[in-house]
Amino acid sequence: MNADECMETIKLTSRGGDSFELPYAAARLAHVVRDANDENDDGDIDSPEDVEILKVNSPCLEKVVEFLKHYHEEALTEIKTPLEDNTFEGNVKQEWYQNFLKGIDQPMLFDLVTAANFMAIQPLLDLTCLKVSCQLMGKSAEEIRQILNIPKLTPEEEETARRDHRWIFDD
Amino acid sequence: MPPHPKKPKLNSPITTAFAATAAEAEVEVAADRIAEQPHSNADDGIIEDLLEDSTDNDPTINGMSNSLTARILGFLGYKDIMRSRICCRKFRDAARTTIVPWADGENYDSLVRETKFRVNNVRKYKAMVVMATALPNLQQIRLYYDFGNGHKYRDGKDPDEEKAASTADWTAYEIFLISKFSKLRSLEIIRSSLNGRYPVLFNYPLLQKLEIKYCSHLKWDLNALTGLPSLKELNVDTSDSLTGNIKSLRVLKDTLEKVYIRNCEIKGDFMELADFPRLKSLALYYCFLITGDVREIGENDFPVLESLMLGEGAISSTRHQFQRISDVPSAAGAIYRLNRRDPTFIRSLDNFCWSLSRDSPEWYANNGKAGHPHPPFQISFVRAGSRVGWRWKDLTLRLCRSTSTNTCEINWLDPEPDRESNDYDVYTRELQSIQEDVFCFEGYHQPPTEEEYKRLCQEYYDI
Repeated sequence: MNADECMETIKLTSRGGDSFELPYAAARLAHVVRDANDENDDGDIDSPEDVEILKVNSPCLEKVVEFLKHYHEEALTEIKTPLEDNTFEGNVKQEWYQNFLKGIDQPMLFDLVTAANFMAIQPLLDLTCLKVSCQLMGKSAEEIRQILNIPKLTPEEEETARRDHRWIFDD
Repeated sequence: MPPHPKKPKLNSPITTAFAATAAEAEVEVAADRIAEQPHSNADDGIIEDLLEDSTDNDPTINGMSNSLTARILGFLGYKDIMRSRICCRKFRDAARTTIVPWADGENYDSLVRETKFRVNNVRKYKAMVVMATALPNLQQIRLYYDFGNGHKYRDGKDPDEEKAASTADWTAYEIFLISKFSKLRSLEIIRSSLNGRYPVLFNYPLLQKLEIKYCSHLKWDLNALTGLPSLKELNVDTSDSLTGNIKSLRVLKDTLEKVYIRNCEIKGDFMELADFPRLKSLALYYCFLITGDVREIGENDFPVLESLMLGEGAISSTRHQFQRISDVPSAAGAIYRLNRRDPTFIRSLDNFCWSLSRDSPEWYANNGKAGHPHPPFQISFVRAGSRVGWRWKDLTLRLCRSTSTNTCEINWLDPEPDRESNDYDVYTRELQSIQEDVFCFEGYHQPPTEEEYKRLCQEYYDI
């Protein structure tokens, strides 16, 4: 059977043991799901089976499944680099995807980046990385540290960085 | 839920078709995924180990792998990346593998993120030194005007002696470090102080665009392009120390899309490029040593060419000066045939401004009498309705497109339109208008001989 037309649903199970059901055709955007189902290069599979995603916690997996389901209905337009705009909304024009990351906190955003990478969901990885990138644009190092909750450099590192840095920006 | 749901097989190489700008990013990320799972001959125990992985409990940038961080930085321009890297070691490490996006010239101006690094003073040169290790995957560099008096790039091999002597006490900067930007895709060198040969500038496996303009002492040969096997666009202007034969471009047959060389003393026949499958634009302006003959272009040559501009040395190029009157009919026929080809690179016949060369044995001067026509040694295409032809005309006005009052008869390239066709009325009307230009050279389809010219002048004007 061709996996793309597969109407069956499967469950993805989180580290916390919660299961989320979705059509296999939507789930297979995650390469980790394809591989677990031994989908070959021609996209043929037998009967799709459930997959445990032990590296991802429940709230995050729920969000991932929401993404997968929607992506199957409306794919994310490819994000072109270099970016054309200074804002996330200016680079991602589709309303659903804008809203998908609206209001989520920083730990959840990083969880999603890591989950997208682990599950090998390229569009979700692009989208979440872009969201983080947009937080960095035009910001000073101090602002970035606050946004990302980053500990300070050691004084020596700071000094080296400042020295390197000076040449780049004062024009 | 079935009793034993499947667990992902961690040892299977997961193909992550990341749409990164460079293939290296994919390799990088894939390698990193594997690196995260060190004992990749998975059994269930490994998964338990992974759960203990500290990264799971650190949902901050520090929990990110190096390649994921590089990916985040990879949406930014070089300035944002360099600014971010001050924040923490994580960003500093990631910047070393971040592939800075790049943009080609056409959409560059609309971008808000800087992708092209411009080196135009000592300060920027020092920034380049830092970036050579901090951000080596920068993809676009422009060296231009560099330093001004007192500072220069270190002379290359075999420099211009006079220039080298006059700048001997200047502070010299090493250009060699530019080779650290091994993923360069676009390199522009404009009005630079480079003096001599610098093989280091011609060794980039991924370079797609090379621009060298107004660098009179930068010595290079077209055969250096072998070091740039991905080159799509070559843009050279007034590079006085450029040598070589256009034949050297043949190593780039399958990649070149745009070739623009202006005012350089390169040699060879432009037909060497006729079988380039992707060549869309070929311009060899003011390259007088370039030869070739447009008449030789066959139906299958230059398959995707959209624009062709050749210097006067190539026969039937837009401003060619013919040596023989008898060459013109075949040239006009060839241009017309190419104009009708689809896709065509000769979009307008009006651009052609041919003439008989003063060096031609068939050329003669005008009779010097005021009010008399010049000999009709200029050629232009004409149109009546949809019917196209060409004719010789006099040089009185010296402007190709202006109406001349003394022309020879039209040499038609199309048959006369059918009397029944819709076009016929327009054709007759326009024909009448252009025929009015035929006066003393009536009956002549090509220029008269000098004797005939003098006689015609006498008959028509000395009354």
